[in-house]
Amino acid sequence: MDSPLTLSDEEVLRRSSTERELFAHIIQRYEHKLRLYIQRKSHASPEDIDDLLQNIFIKVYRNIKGFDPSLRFSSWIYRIAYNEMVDWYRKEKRTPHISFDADESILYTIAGDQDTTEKALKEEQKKVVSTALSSLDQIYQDIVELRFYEEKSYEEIGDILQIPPGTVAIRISRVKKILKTLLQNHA
Amino acid sequence: MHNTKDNFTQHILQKIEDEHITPIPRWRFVVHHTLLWVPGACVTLIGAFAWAGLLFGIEHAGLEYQSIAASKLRLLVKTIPLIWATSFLLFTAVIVKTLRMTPKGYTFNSRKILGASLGISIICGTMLYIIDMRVYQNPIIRYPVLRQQKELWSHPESGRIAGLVSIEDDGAFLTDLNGKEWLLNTVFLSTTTTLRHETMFRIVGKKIDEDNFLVCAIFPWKLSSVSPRKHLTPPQNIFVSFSTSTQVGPCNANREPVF
Repeated sequence: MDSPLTLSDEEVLRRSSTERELFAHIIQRYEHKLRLYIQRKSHASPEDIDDLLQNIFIKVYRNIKGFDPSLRFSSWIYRIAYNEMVDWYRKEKRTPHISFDADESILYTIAGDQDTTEKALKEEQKKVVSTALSSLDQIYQDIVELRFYEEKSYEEIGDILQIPPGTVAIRISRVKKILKTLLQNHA
Repeated sequence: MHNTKDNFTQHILQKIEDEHITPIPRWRFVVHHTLLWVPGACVTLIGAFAWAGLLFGIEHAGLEYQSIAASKLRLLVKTIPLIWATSFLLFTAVIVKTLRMTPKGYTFNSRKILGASLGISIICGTMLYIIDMRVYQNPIIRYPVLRQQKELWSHPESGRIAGLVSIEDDGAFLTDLNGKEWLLNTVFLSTTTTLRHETMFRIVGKKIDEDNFLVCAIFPWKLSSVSPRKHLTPPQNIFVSFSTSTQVGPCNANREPVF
């Protein structure tokens, strides 16, 4: 019999419905990733994050048999996490706000091909990009976060946010244009 | 907060065990996903009926009457049943929303879903219309149009009546859509027009008194009956032409009554 460590997420999930202890592998594989995702997206307290994570994993367990095998498991669990956070915002009456760290490589990727001799963004430019990202509409922020921080493909982002992949591409291109213009004006 | 990965994992598994949480059975997901298609199918069907109703409404709007109405568009707006026009638009919008909720519905953009919904409704609606014309007269499609036409052609004061014509020895009579009998004065009617016995007509003219109606122009009724339950034979080969270009008695060059 295959070791659970070598099984794909989808296979572990399928078997978890009858072998509950296998579900531990799902939790272990995704707890850290989702914790970071929730942290960045919600600014929730550690206790709230634990509660959110607990709800997410319980929902995953309850809905194991509803998993659509045409999806990637990671897209499915991120979708559950995303919806859980939307509910949390509504319950807490908070406005979603993503904090975009001024991580140079990520910001450079988002800002796109800068035609400068300098390879790195200047501190000031990083601040401009961070501020611009934070002021974007929520629909754009969600996509930027999933694309550049979670490194999801357009199709996966579409599956998580339940929008067509074409719409994802258009929105990313818009964000890049906005940031490019901002940086050019700032240069 | 849980300090280690294992603690957190154990905590979740423990909760699942303590609260007897079990996976939802697969059949419930299957039912849920199937039910999401039901409104879509119903809406498409209503859209198809609406489209067939629109076609029927346009076909039987009585555009020959346009010389008297202000414009073809106004006549169409007046005669096409609003119920079909609004339900067609409304249900097309609903289908976009419903299909979006199906498992892979979000991968299609609204324009594609709207296009598909319109396409299916138009194809099915056209088929329903053809069936209605050739095989079975569908009361659902016809009734709103018949009602609207009845309303339009029940105004003797405005010079519009419609009904069943009977030619007797002592003149031509018309039993209108409300059952009232009129003696028709056809003295100013063009010689190329024919009033046919036991045939439905729309008549434009002038009410002379409570029993007499002066005929300026006649139009074929084309609709088989006012009530879907009655089935009267539609007239065949009715031609309407106007032989004069000047005013003839109380009717003007367009065969409109001069009040």
